[in-house]
Amino acid sequence: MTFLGTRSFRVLCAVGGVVVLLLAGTMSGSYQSQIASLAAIYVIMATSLNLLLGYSGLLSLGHQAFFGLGAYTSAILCTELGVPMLLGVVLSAALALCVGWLIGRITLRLRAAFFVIATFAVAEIFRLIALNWVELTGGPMGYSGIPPVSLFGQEIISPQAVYPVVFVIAALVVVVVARLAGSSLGYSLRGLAENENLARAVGIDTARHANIVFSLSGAMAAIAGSLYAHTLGFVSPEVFGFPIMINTLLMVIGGGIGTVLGPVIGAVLFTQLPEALRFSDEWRLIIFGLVLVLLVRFMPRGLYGTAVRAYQQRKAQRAPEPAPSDTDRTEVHDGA
Amino acid sequence: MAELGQYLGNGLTLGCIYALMAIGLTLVFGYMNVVNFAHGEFYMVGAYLAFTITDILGLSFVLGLLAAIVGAIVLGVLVDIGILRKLRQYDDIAMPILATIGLSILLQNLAILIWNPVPKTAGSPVSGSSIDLLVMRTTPQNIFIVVAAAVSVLLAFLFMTRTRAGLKMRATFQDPMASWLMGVNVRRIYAMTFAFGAAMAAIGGVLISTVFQMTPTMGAVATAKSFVVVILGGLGSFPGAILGGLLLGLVESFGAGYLSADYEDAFGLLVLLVVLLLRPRGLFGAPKAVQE
Repeated sequence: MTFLGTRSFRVLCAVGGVVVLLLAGTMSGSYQSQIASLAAIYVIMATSLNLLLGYSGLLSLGHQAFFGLGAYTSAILCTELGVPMLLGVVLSAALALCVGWLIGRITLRLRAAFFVIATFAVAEIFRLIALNWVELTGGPMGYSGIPPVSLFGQEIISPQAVYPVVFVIAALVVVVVARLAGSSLGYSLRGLAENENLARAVGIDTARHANIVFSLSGAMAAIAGSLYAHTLGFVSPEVFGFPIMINTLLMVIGGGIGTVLGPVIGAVLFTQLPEALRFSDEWRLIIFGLVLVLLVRFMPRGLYGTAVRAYQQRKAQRAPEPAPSDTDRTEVHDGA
Repeated sequence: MAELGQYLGNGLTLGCIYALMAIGLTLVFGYMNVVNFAHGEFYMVGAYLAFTITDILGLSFVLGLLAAIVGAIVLGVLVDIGILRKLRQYDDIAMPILATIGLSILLQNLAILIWNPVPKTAGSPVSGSSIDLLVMRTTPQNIFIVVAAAVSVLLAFLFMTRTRAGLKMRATFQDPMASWLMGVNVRRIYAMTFAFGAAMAAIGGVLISTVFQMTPTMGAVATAKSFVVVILGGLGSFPGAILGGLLLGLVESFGAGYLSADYEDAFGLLVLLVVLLLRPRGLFGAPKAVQE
């Protein structure tokens, strides 16, 4: 056994990764720091969608509804009622948890394509409400003057200082999802994804578990939305828009669906990609669309998922004894 | 009363376009189990291809319509062979959805690049002032759309029920394995079905662009509306798609006229959710075409 692949190597990698990411966001210019915060927010989004899509096999195209809900809840509570920023984040998540439970109760009765379309319809209705309920949301003009990120009553203005706060919350979400994936809930979710009838036959309450995970991932998306509102100081109905959903999907699929680190890598890469392509606005979205098609067509496991699998296969070739029998992408474990 | 006649005329015209779109989508969704998020983009591509032929090259409307149909068929076959064929082996509903979402972003932005985002108007092949028809008040342009849509739907129906290719298509959707054993080239049938759906959407796009402006992003709304109609009418159902399309067109026209125009799109989506929950097989009963 080489050093590569041992537990201490993994811990070293994790610590190294955290340090590099923290330094990258705090030691650079204001603009880069803001992009880094955005990446961390998308890490939360992608990780929460992965909990739903990657582990439970439930494709929701309405995840942006929770992002938008979190953004507006935080914006309205903190601006109108003077609620402290962190409490705003918590309340957003709590509201999304309740709303998610309700939406889950309704939409999870449907399966496969019908669930996809129902979630899409719900999110569109949310967007139309945000657009048209002008007294509450400010309508198409959006909602501005949202208080910035603050800690213990101290407002944090500089993007270099905002980033560590967002980073810590994102890291917490990733750890919680990794824990959930390894818990009994995580395994029953995989059962739901692979064979719902079988899972039910061995006594798993799939309907309840699906609803729990739907509302939990919704709450996480609301945290992302809430942080987005405080980081930018401004929200518009675009936070309910389908592009948010597509970005998040691209991150989950591109990074590695059903893995803990895949969506994190995807989120970091795909928030940088638009910046790298900034020279050409016309080609930016064309490349985005093309990348999504090519990923699904040629690399459905994503960058990290493909790499992990290649590594596992090489290891299996060297030591053929307990041959891994997993052929499904949901069974890619990354040991995190 | 004058308004009522006008809403009726507009609603029927819109409804015919929705029916055309929904027929294309209901085949691809109901039969191939592909939730095609790029369906509206075929409608957009159809409109722009026809616009290029008629308004930029100055050729006839019929040539423009033909170019749109041929273009959509070629694009549809390419998409099925290049992308969807490989994804069928996963037997996972999410994969084709993700691929068609990517495709729709790609096509939308390519259209912006080629034709620029400024809304365009294509002329109608007919002209004249508004006329009264029974209780309806409508224009020759609207009547042209209704007639052309009805002819297209009829031709599509005859194709599905009266030709060998249509028979093979229906057989494949009932039981791909049995059809394959009977010597049907199942892969080719899937490509044909997808192209057929794309062509129906393209015809819808050409027709709508004779009365409304076209934009590269017009497909997104069309996709959402097509889903509403397909679910209203029941998956894979031809008559359901037609009735559902007309119903949605009328509801929208009257809703925008008498109720709030802001929430026009939301009403359709609410109806969609209610139908999904109460009658998941559609308003018009079990899908007939699947059982035939």
